Amino acid sequence: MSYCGKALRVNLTSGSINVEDLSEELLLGCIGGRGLNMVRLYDEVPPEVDALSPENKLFLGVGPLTGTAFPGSGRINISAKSPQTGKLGDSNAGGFFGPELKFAGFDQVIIEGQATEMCYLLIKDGGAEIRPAQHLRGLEVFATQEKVREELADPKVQVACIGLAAENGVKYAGVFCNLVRAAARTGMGAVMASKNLKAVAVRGTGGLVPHDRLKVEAMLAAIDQQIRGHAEFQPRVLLGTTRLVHALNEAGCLATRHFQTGRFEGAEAVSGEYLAEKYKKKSKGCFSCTIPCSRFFELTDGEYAGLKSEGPEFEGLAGFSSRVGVSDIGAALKGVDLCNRYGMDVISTSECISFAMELYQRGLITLEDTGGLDLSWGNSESVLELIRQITYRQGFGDLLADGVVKAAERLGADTAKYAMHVKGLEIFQADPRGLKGYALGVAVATRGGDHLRAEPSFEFTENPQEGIRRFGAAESAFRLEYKGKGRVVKFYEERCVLADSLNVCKNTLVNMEILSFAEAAELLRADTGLAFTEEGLQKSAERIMNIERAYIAREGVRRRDDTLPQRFLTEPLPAECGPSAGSVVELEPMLDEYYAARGWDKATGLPTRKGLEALGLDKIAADLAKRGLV
Amino acid sequence: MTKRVQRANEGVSLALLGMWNGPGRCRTSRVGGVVAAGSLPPLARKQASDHAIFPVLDKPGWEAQAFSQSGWHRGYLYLSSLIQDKRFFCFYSQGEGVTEMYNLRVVVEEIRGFCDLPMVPGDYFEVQGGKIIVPPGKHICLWALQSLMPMLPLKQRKIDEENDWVPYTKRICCPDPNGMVIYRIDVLDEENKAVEEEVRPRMLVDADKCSGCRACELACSLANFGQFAPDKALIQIAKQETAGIDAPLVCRQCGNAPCIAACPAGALSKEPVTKAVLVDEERCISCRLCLKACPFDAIFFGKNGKAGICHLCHGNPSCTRKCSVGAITFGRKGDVR
Repeated sequence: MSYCGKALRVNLTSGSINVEDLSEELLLGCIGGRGLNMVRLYDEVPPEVDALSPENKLFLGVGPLTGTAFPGSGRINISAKSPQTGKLGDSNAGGFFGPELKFAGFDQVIIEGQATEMCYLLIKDGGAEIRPAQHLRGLEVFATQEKVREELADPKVQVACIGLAAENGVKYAGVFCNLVRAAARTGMGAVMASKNLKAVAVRGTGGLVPHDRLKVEAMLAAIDQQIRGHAEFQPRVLLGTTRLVHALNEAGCLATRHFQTGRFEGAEAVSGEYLAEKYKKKSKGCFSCTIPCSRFFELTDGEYAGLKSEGPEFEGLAGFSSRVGVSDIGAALKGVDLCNRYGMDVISTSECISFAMELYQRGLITLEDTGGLDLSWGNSESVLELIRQITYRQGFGDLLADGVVKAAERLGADTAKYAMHVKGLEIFQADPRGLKGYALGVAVATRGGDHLRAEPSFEFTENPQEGIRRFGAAESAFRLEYKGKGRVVKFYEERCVLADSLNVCKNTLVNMEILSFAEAAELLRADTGLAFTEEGLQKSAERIMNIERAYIAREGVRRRDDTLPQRFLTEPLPAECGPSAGSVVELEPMLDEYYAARGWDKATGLPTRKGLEALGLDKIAADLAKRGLV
Repeated sequence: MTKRVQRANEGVSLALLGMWNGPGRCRTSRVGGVVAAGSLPPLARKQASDHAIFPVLDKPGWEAQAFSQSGWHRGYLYLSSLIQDKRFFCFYSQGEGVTEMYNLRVVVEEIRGFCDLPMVPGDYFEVQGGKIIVPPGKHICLWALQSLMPMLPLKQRKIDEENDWVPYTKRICCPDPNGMVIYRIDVLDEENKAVEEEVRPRMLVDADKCSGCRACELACSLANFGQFAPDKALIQIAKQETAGIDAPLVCRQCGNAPCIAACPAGALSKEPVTKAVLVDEERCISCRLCLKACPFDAIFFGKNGKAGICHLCHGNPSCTRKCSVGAITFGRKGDVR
């Protein structure tokens, strides 16, 4: 049984630590990981709760495949109400923390209350203790991880911790484990900091016994073979996601100078290919990975020579290069490294900085506002200085530390249209105008402007027959078309839910589309012995999407919030953007299609009572009805 | 030194011993009625006035140590030959623990470069006991021959020694970078036919490639204990995250296994076929002396306190199949994969 069937509930106010059983029905219904967290979040964190108050709860969830030999099974979901958006907060990280939690005997950890003094939580083989962490205060992420391991005298302890940014109250601070594996989106680190919790350390010496070992072994071997034979395998091992810098630049939709254009003239010098050729030392992987897509690198020349770290991912690399106009790869890597060490989300940080840079370009802010920082495009020194200022909440950085929405509020109403966010969460490094499916995915994502809730990579296949067969529209296979994208996004959202709930890597499940729902059910039956079925899993994925939607609906989200920044809807991409030139996002027809596919109300974007009840969500339907929402 | 010299056909050994006929004369010699060219490597030339002394294993470290401790030699090979009656003769000194020898045939398999000597593929010489015999009409380059010499006694050994880890080397390239003549060394049976040598694969580790994903730990624990439990695994990855170091710790099947020597309880032994180290848990007294002796930190003590050592899954390791980056492989170094 590869479920532990146990959840750990820790109350930091009272210091109580309880172990709860997880019932089979619950696990069958929500699979685990993200699903399990979302069920709890809906039940336990109502709209009245302030995200930074002791009443908010932090959920660390792992899935049935976490800790098994399934490729990329090292992931964990960290959820809470988000202090950044005020709505649903959920973030996913790789590394080795999740599996260690399983080996320690837990599928979920629930952290409530607020400690009086800074502490850290040590979970070890079925039990836990709260330990003082005064001595860890003010330490950056890497040092905290090392220090906790040193203190516990066990190099196999896995540590998820917050850095300086979270301690100083930056709203988009994340939770980090294994150096740079970050659950960074939606400010989960800020929630941890509000609870005075510096880190969660975990060590498990137990094992997970599969129900039908031979079947599991055979299925995993077949999946490995499938992955190694996949066309995406080699490039992903070589470059990871950083290959997107070059690919998106070619396609004309690389976020450049805060989405003013989709072509970055300096892209070659900051591309993943350049990084791999010059500075990559070896491939690195998360737990049990068949496609080790991360890289260990060391800068050997330039101003930042000697900098060595893991990564970066595309989002960080492009965030501190094309998005802010910097074409020095050393400076970009330094920016990513600072964010990792201070413990901040690279997407939100780079948006806040590039937002300020665009305002500076347009004369909406001046040197007076920035405290003397010259924010012209490509000024890498200012970018790095601003990262420091945000972390310490000093000077102009203090103004940006609560996210781009708050920053725009403070800088005046006319700056709001330059804030690139959806539902309060800053958006990623690809221009949505060149990727219509992604655009819709970002617009409707339940945690706010984020691409990892859908990842509709089908739109790159350019295979019209497949488009008709799978999604009823030949256009759905092309990134610049909008027809059929509602159904594509629905499909991929459910693939993402499956990946996050099994808690395995999306490279395999979403981008490569390995492991269909039927295979997943077969594997889960063999692994857990529970009666998983294809239909059941599909329904679970849909159910989790509806729980999330019901949660944000309860927080006030309607169709009007499923939108994109004005620029993407009205300003066409400039002529230099090659194949993507002249393109804008046709959001409204895509939204209609999406709501129809989901069975939600077209005018409001709310789920219907009938739809919720058909998914077995009677309680949630009743709750929404009580609030007059269905 | 010369007192120990015996005719090889009487004897048995691992070391070649003898005298060159003088340094200058070997450069071009008439062998078997054929002109063969050869020269001595610098070290030999320097010392060739009396004896030529070659270090066989010039690599430092445990491998050299393992060989020297296995009793056949002190790490040096004494090489010499005489040219008499248009034939080469090599002399061997008496070694310990060796009772039988193979005969060898060294065949010119391929000429990849531009060798200007009159050899053709298929030419060969034979090593019969202590004699090197170049058959009439066959040509052999003397330079290549003397480069091959250190190999010959190694390949000739026929011993049932537990710690015998002769490198699996079948082919050798001549030292002339322009010539690129490939020689194949065949071991001969009683009927003078080439025998297929038994290949003994072992665990090869390249830590520079390791991505640190620990999938090998899972594969091991699933194959051996029926569960996903990295702590029980007989291969483990040691990490130093900030430095980017991932080192697979796993038994390399040392020839002269120090763990076996260190065990005071006699709990460790070698599997006769795979040469993996086996642990007799009943005898193990959990003293951890084996771990102290292990140069690779590849012995793990689980909850029961008994030593755990990789047993190669009885010759078909499951961990190497799971590794995506080729950091751990099962085979022989130099094998073409």
